[in-house]
Amino acid sequence: MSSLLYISISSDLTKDEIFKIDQQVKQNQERVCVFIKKLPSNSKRKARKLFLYSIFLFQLSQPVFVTAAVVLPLPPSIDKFSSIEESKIKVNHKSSQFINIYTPKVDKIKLTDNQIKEFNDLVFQLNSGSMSIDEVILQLRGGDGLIDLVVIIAVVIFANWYNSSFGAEGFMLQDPFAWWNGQYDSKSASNGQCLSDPPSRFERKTLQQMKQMCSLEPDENGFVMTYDEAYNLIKETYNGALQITPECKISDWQCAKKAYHFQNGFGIDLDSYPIDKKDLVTLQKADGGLIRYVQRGGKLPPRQFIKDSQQKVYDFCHRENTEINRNAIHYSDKTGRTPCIMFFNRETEQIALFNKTSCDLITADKFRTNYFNKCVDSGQVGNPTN
Amino acid sequence: MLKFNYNKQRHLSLLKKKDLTFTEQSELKEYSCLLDAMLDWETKEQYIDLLEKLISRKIDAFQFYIEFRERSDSNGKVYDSLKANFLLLSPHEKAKEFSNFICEIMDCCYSYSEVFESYESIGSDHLKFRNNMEEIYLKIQKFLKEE
Repeated sequence: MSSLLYISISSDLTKDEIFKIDQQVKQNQERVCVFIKKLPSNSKRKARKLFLYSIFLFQLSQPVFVTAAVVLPLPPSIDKFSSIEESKIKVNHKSSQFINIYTPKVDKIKLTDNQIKEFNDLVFQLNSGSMSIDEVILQLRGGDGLIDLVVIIAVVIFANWYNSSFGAEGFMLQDPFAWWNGQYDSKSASNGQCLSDPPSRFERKTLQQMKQMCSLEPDENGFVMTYDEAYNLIKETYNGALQITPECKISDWQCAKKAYHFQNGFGIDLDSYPIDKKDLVTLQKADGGLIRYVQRGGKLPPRQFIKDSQQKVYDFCHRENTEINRNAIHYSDKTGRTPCIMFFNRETEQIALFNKTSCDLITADKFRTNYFNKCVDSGQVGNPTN
Repeated sequence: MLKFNYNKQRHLSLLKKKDLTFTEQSELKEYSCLLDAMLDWETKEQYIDLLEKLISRKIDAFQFYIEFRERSDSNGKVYDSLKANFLLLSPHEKAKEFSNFICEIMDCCYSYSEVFESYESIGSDHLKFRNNMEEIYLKIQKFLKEE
């Protein structure tokens, strides 16, 4: 990408100027590469997206005489940007022939006072829910002036950690400062997962400042956030889906909503995740569902739990002895008579029911023997109410 | 009243047998339903108590929904445990029919689960759900009084 950026103006530069620019670009690219490689393995996809974005932001922050000549338009969205072929934005192979500067260990971020302020501002907005991660990234792109690369990387690393390790509760419900203090390190993590590298004393000081800014107190109703904030938090956290068959899927949101049933009826072992059964019971018992639960500061089911639950249902639906009724019906007092596809297994007495119109999961659970037989024989779950 | 012939030894042998014929599978299914129904029958007082609490407004509809499902799940776990350890209960002649009422309540719970889980339902009285439960309660009372 670096070569693409200034190739159009290279005719006006001397050989030494090109060499100098190339050296600087290459050096910084290597730093970013090492950073991203050090991220948790389960966050590779997001890390790559953020990596591409960081490279782009870095290029924007280059001296004016380089960037001013760039006619590439800004990406309209991060997702679109991530679709750019990686091969086009990696390394300038020609320059790498005579530039061989490596920085093997760059996982310690040293922030200046100004950078601390920028970092604090961004993380505070993330923590308060007033900005999503994508919005922060957009802010980095379009903020006042060009925010230093170090701050960008700091936020990217923090945001990535928050997303990949704990899902939405990273900021709101886990202690972000514990991360900074090394409590989620491989040495400290009780579940054996290595979640981050320990920060330096300087970085801890930075977070200490943030801690004072970010304390959350529930209001008189016991809510730590508004409906909109909770809704947006869930929407941003659970924005994917697993396709079971061409006509059936499980959205992350629906899966989170039914988390208790998966744990109960699909044998998900909670010991493998940073969430307790009591949290799922609280979620199950929350009148008003997932949104109200989040408003009260409930801990969201981790993303890995969601992925594994979806996989369990996927496996169940694809088992040899699982049968399918494509003309099943679900009766709901809210939505009425809904045509469904029912996957059922007579041996395990589990049923997964999918809405034929939205394709999304309605419910998946292990049923009691008599009720299972009733549902399978009639092809119907629920009953028309008076 | 349902008429049936329950043979505990036959039930046990079918449970222990690995490769069942289609007829044997149907037979085992019938026995399994009876064992499951028997657990509902054994805990009928708790179900009735829950219904009475709902009708007398000691608990709200959502609480009933949660507690009913917990009661039912608990019976389901006992059922699995009994089956795994080849422990069988001799069924009561009314058990199967009583269990049908439990299925009816379960049907209502599944019909209302989306309502209970929706944000808009907060503070609702769920009158329709209450009325349905009251109807089932009256049917259960009538059934239990039958000879």
